Amino acid sequence: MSAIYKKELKSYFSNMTGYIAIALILVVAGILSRILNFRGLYGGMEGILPTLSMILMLAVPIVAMRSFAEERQLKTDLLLYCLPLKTTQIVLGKYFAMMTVFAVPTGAMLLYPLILSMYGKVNFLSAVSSLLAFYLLCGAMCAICMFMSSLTESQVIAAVLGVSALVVCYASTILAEALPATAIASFLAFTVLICLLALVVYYFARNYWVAFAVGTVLEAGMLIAYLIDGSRFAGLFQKVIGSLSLFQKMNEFVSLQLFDTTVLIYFLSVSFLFCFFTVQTVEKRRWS
Amino acid sequence: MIEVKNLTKRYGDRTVVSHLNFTIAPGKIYGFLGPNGAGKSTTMNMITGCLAPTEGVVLIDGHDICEDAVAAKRQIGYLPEIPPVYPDMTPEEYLRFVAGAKGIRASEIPDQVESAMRQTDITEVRDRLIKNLSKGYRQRVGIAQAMLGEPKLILLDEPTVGLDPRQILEIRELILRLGKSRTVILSSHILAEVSAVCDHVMIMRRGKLVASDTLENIRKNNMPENRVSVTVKATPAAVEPVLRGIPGILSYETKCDTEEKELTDLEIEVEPGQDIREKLFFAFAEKKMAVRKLARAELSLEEIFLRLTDDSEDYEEDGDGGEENGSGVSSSEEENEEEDEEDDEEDDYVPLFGKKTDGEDEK
Repeated sequence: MSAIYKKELKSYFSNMTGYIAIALILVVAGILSRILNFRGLYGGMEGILPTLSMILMLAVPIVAMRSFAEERQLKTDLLLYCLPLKTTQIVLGKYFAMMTVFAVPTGAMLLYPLILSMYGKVNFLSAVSSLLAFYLLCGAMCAICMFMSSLTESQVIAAVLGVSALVVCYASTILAEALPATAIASFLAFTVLICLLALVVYYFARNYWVAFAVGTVLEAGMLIAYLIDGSRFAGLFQKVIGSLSLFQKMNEFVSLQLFDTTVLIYFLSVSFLFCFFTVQTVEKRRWS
Repeated sequence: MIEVKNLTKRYGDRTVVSHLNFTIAPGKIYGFLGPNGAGKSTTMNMITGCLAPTEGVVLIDGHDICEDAVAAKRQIGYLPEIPPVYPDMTPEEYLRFVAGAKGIRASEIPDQVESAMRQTDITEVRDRLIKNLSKGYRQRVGIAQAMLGEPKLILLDEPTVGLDPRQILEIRELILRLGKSRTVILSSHILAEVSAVCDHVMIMRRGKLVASDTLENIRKNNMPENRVSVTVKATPAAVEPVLRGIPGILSYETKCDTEEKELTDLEIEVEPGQDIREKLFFAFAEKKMAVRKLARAELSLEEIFLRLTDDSEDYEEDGDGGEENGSGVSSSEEENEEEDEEDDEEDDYVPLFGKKTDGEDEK
């Protein structure tokens, strides 16, 4: 795994992508900090992080787009397959290399509370824990974009897929809020989600029957729940989407100023899940 | 070294490799020969674990390439058809990366990388970016990569494709050198290449092994035993009565020599087990017809290869192993019989002429 990690890390800094992502985050962080902390005379640098996480929607796909798409494009994926390495090691090597790139701006931002402390009182614990949450959010986004990269051999398509996934993630709460909070609206929205899930199952299994069975079972279960107590569905979709949104979680973590471990565990879980999906996608290509 | 059992790869209903069975003994250079699309690369990808087989098992030194992949892959060095190199790395960086990924100890990496570069003659370009190297050098970097970790087995998929004649000769020499210390399997659709370097040849057609032997044996086993080729100084009309008087002739074809009208070329098919060459000689001598040539009909290696890999027949593949259908257009009945026989004996080598030989027994 360390060989893959070193090679990936080196490649991020032998071309522009690593530098661009780091510069992008630090420039925006600097501007936001100047507005919020210096002009606004506010000592908590963590206040910039929810807004800064929006720039990750661009920075993360720039870094992650090449992870697997480039290997397929250069036909070096065959080399990875025939090396005595497990697919998990390859995926984790690449994932940790990406995480190291994002450790640079996050590490640099650790200096912000120190600088701010020269001018007034700073809550270090709150700042550091928020930066930890921000870093884990980067990790979750990296995993999502790495998965998108494993789906295609075009880096451009990988980047577009990555940005789209993150934008959907960001806008999901807004879209969910736009839906009526009635029970039937929630039911229909969940039905659409179940259809999408069945499509994902079909992509992995390439079997109509399995996808159909998964979709039918979930839909039937939901229908039964709806028939038993339909009133519980009122506003449920908004709640579920709100509790799944990465950006919403980040906002809550910073604004409540609580060290909420569920948020950190949630980010880690998303990272794990998408790393797992990536392993499955890479493995699947060997079979098809 | 390698045991391949019932190896099959299907993409949907299309069978690309069909029920391959063979073993590879250590210390030889093997060649996969076949036209484009015969399934050579797919077979190599399956042997190296890059592609999972639909059915069947590949054992590398007793390790299953799917179940015990890491142990099996440690024995293998593989150069795919397109060298898997990173254009933004130098050969040295690239080889160090591959060495690390192959689990070579850090203290041994510099020596191994140096040795691989020396053997493949890329030391002088070690610091240039791979994207600036010629195709020949990239190929060498790919071969150097395959040599790292001192694998017992090296697989090279069409290693000379796209190279100029001089580079081809250099790569062939390199393969011969590699073959002295380890087992090498290379694939090619060029007969001359395989005959120049390989000890043992496996000919593939449409995902099936149609021959597996030394080139000499393949040639011997595919020679037509019951055909005689004669050139006589006489007209066809004068020759025919002579032939009718000789027992044991099944059929014959006559044609006038294109350059000398006085000469007649004859292709005679005789009953199996009979040698009528002396009878022919005396019969023509009696009629005062000079015999210019009298020999068993021979096929060149190219002709044998073309006949073994002949795709002109109209095959139909079904979803269950791509079995060939004898109802297609065929050049002769004899060939139809061969196809039927091949279907019955799926993976055994069936020569075009002469007795049936089991390829594995020959080893």
